[in-house]
Amino acid sequence: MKDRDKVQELLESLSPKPLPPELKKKLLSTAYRKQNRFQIITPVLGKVFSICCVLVVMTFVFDLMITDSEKKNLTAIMDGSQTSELMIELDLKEIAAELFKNEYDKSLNQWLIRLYKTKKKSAKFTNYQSIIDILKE
Amino acid sequence: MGYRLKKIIAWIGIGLVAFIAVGLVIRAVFNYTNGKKLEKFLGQMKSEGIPLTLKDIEPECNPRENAALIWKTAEAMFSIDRENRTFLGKIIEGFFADKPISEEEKQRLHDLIAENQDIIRLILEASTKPCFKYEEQWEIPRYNLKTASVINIIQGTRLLGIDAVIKAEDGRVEEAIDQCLAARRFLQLYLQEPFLISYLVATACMKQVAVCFNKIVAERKIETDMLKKILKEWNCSPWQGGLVRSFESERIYGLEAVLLHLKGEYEMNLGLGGKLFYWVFRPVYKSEIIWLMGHYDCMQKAAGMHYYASRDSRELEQRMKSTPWYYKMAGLFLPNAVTVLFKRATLEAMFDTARVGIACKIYKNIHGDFPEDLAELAPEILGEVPVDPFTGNHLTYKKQDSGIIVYSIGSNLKDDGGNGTWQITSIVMEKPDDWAWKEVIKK
Repeated sequence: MKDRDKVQELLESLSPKPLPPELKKKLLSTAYRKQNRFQIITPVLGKVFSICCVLVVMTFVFDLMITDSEKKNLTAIMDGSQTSELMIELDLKEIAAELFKNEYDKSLNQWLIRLYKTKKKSAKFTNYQSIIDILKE
Repeated sequence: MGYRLKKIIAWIGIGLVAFIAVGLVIRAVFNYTNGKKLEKFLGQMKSEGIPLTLKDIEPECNPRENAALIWKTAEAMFSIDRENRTFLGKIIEGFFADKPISEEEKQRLHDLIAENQDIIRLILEASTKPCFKYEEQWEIPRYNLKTASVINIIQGTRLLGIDAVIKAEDGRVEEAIDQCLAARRFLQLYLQEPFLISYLVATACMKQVAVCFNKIVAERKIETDMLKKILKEWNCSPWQGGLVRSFESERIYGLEAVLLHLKGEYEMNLGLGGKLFYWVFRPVYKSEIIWLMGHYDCMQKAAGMHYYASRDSRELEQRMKSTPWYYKMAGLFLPNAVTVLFKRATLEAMFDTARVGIACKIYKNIHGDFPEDLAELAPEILGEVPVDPFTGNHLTYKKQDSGIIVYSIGSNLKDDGGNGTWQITSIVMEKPDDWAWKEVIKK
């Protein structure tokens, strides 16, 4: 009998008890905190990232529109006229020796060489990359 | 990868995207506003009738009157090799230093002149024409606008000048003078070619012809009528206006090229990096065009002034110094206008001292002696006595028993007694750099 009572007591102790009313909330908030602490991209950052991506796309689209409109306006201003390209002979060293052999002419000489090189590369003097290439040379 | 590292990478990545996005937005705003500013600026230029393309300044030149067509025939005949070109250059330097031609040199020159006689004849023929247009049509799309061969122009006029000196030494003085005057007319025609390079070549060639001319006319008895004829023609005025025009055509050529580039009508040999660089800096590039136009205006203004006035105003130097750092690239593609102006001043000094020297010879023919003062030359012989292009004051004039000397004191602003140096090594020379006309009385 005594044993039965003990078993009864044991079973009663194992039976579910009503949970304290705040526990669920506490557990959830703890879980959220843990999740936030270990999250790589937070919701705010995610939003920032999305906005930035949209901005990047928009600027590219905007740039295409500007370029297109500029082309039309510049064509109208230039009245459809065409360009000409100055062709100077190739023996630049000799031209420089003839015209710009003096020290004080260095800057003019360099200008001539740049002019020639940009023509040679069909790059014109608007081409920054060719400037860099020339400077490297 | 640890959680913390992942988080740092994510933050950096998002930060970078945000940075790029902000940068692109700023670039887009500048690209738009600078583009509008440029369009407005160009529209205003157009409404004011300022040329925007080379076609706008293309001159009329009837093929029958085009000296360039005759010059092209001469170009095809050139047979002066590099060694002879150097030789001719040394002869000219010798003339400047008053060094006589040796017999051996004379023989070599005779052979060279005989070989290239047709070139001299054709230059003389070309000098009678009213215009020079090497490329007959400028409006062909993407046309390669060719210019006359620089080397040949230099050698042709050099040979012509030396030939004139030899003719004068053989007693054919009048023919020699006419040849020098024709060379000047030819180079004046060549100034009609657009671009600064043609101007520089014409200036360099003219100085060489002037050295030959001085050798022929100075210290030689010449009739008054001939001297008066020389005075009418021997002046620097085409080179004064020519420089303004050259700067203008450089500006137009540059503008046309950059606008076509902006319109994307040029195929460029750019790598991916270069394309990206250009794309990023496109807004700067647009405002740079407006700045460059202002710089060319400044250059044209300086070209319209006397050398001493433009040097003293220091406007060009100050403008170059105050170039914003983001426009520094543009400076690489601008010719050094200060040097070009200096070159013109040296030519002007050569012409003006020669004019005064010739006027003194006329005075002597009339009055039996050289004038005591240059003021005696005006207005009878010279309308007005030219001033020293380097100082704005009167040219230095010295009358001695041995003759006269007229000179400009040159860039160092020091009286070097009329001694000069052909090879100038700096814009302000420490060495003697006077530009002189000497008339020694032979006893």
